[in-house]
Amino acid sequence: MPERPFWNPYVAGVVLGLVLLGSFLVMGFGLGSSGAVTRFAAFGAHLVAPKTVETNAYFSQYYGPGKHVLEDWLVFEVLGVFLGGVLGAYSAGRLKLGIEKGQRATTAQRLFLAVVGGVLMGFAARLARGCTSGQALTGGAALSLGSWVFMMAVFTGGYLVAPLVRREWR
Amino acid sequence: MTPQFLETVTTRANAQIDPSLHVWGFEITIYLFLGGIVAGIFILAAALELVSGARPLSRFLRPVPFAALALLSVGMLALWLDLEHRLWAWRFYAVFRPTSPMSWGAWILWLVYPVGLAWGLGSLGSEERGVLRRWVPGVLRSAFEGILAFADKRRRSILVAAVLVGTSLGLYTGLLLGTMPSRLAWNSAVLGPLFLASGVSTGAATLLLLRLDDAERKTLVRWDAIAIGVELVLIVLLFLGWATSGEAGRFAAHSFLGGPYTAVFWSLVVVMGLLVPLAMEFLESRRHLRFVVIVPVLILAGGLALRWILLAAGQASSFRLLP
Amino acid sequence: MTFPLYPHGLFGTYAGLLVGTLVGVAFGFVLERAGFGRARNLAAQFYLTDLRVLKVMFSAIVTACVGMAFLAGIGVLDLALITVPETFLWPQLVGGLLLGAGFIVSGYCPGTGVVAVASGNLDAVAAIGGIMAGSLAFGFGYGPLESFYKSGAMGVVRIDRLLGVPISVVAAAVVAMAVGAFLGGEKLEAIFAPRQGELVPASPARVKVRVFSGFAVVAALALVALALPARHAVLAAKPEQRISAVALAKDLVASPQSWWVVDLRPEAVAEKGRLPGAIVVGPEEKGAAAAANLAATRKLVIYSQSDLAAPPEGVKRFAGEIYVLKGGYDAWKAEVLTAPRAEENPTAAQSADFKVRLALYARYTGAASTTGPARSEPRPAAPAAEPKKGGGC
Repeated sequence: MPERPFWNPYVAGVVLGLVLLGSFLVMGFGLGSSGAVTRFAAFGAHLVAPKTVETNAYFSQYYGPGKHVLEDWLVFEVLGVFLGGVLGAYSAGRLKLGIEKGQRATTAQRLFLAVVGGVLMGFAARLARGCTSGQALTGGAALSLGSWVFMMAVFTGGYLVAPLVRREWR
Repeated sequence: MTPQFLETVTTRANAQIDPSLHVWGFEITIYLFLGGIVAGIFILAAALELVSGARPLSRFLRPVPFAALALLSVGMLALWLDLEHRLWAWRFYAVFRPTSPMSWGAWILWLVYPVGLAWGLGSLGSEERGVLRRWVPGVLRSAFEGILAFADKRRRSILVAAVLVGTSLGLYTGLLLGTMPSRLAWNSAVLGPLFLASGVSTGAATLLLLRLDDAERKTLVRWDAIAIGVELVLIVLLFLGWATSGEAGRFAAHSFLGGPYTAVFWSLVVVMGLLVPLAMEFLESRRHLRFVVIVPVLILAGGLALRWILLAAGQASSFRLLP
Repeated sequence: MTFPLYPHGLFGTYAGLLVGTLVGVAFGFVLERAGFGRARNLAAQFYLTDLRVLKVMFSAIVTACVGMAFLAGIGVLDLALITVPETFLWPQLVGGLLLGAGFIVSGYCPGTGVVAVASGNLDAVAAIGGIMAGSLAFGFGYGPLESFYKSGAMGVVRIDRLLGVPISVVAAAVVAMAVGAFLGGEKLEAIFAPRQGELVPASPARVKVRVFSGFAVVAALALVALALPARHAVLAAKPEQRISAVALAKDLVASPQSWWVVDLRPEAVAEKGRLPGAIVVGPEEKGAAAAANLAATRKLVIYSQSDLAAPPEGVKRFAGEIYVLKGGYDAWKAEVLTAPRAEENPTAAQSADFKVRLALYARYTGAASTTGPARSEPRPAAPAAEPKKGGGC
């Protein structure tokens, strides 16, 4: 079966906005994702060095009596994002293993840069208390001043660095 | 009889003996999970041959009975590790107590091995038999030939026996929990069929991970979808049974409908392990999409979660907690 | 004020987590359909060949924002119960710059990375691994970063409050800004895509007209809703009521969902022991204000270590009934968490009271209710059979 086309971006945006609005109406808060990724990271680190993680000044907020690091709204939401992504990709005939890169970039380069960018983002998302989903999208819709500052900064940062990694995407 | 007294006589669970019944850990989960898979493999792989009337088309399906027995052995190892008095495990086989579900289980487990061996030997092609013949020591040669001849002659009966043994094994994994009335969340007769259906589904998922012939794959996907559908119905029945069985049942149901097991049960078991794979199997047949490995992986994860959660929820639900 | 549902206590934490899964499925599905599972679609934003990211993100923000403004305008949604991310200006500015850089280098942001993993992109697996490592690095380097992490703290700052205008006005401005950005963005696409030898992304006018006019209509409706008579909360002076520890303990067993229990002691003290389900808000007026913001669908009971003469001023803005726990936590400890002593020759009333106290003691301490001295119980001569309830079929 041929791939189904992507949705018109405006329509996709409206539907995404309705999902976000639904989350606000039901739960009173919006979407997110980096928080869950951090929790998974803390969970993994906890398997290796439980004491270090529990006493860490930042991660200690995830631990305590009656708390489980993975018992969190965002963790379940991101589980849903994964399942929704699988369903979406499969029903559109797009579910297959592969590596996204420009024609001139090698696989090793691409994977290395993906990790480097990921490390930057993981650090930045914790510093800013959220990522494009939790801050820009959710905080933007809720008209938080800091989230709008964040959003503008994301675009600025992206445009500043983009010329340096042009090779990766051509 | 007061709830406390009932607990004391049936499970020793009172403050003086066992403060709580958190005694079944990951070992039992693994055993129930592998037991279910083996039951499913026995039922499905044997039924596949009974329906088509021909030996397995794909090379990978032929050694499956042996693989199933190996899986079951791993499960039984987990079960044995869970025992308090490991050296006395043989005593299970010194008696047969018709009133004890554990005794039934112990004997069913042993019944699986001869049936599986006979079925597996019969499935082998002439080439593989030749290899085996070279390995069998001379003294046992005639016995080996006798078994092979028997396995070929009685092929149909052996396949039927495999289906029956698989069904009993699958039912037993659930009934083991279901017969313990003092654990509120296990106190349901639906648990046996539910674990059987889940076993069939996880067994199908395991088989789908192998490189199968297209026709076999199609049949298995269809059967798997049916098993998942049955499982969903049984989950509804489980809740209906609880809702109509008085305070204890409602208490058990509450832990899945608003209580601490709500999110994990509905998210991991129902959405991730049943609804999403079912939707993908439906899409696969409707839109002629490629088969993808993630479907069986999700089903297996969901099956493991089902057993893990029911095991934990059951041990956490006791009469003493009733309001 | 029906929405949001969750803070009204309609369903518990765990059912909320399940809602999270379902919302996530929808979120993931839409992100995939928007094309965000592919790094090249995302990276194109920064080379101005395809501004898909801008279009999807701003359309989503506008939809949710005007939607909320409209629903709040007609009085269906209570904006005070919507969680708004707090503003920490400097870390958000620097974090944003770094995240933007990481975005174009890795090709994904965390949310789209998860979707990309789900659709089988192995580079996204590497990116998510990187994000995990990055967040661990932040956690383990938190010590020296803490002061910067907390710098520029402004609390919750909503742009409409900052400007002192109704939210629907800001929402309308966001619509205008977004439509301007979309039209300008399409101009940029038309310039930059051909330069890099790519097709200008198709953008049918029909869809644009419908979507943009839809935004305008909802924003206009939200503005019209300003003319509706505002519902002012009645701030009548409410005499607070007092409740004894035993009475509260009984009611918390019978209907835990009908109470907000608020602990006004310092967190360190409350950590050591508090009423089950108590919310620790801190002793200052700020904590009291937080308590006042709880939904009025439940009764509010507040307590301190010892007796409170009167609730703090801030609490009085709570819209529902307010109770003060008589004797504070000390009374709770003495009357509920201590095993009741039996009278030598109890009257029937004393005996009944003792039974209740014993049951409460067992309930709240976990001690078996049968271990208490049973002498106080006037034993019936013969065990009376319990009347069997219901069941005829």
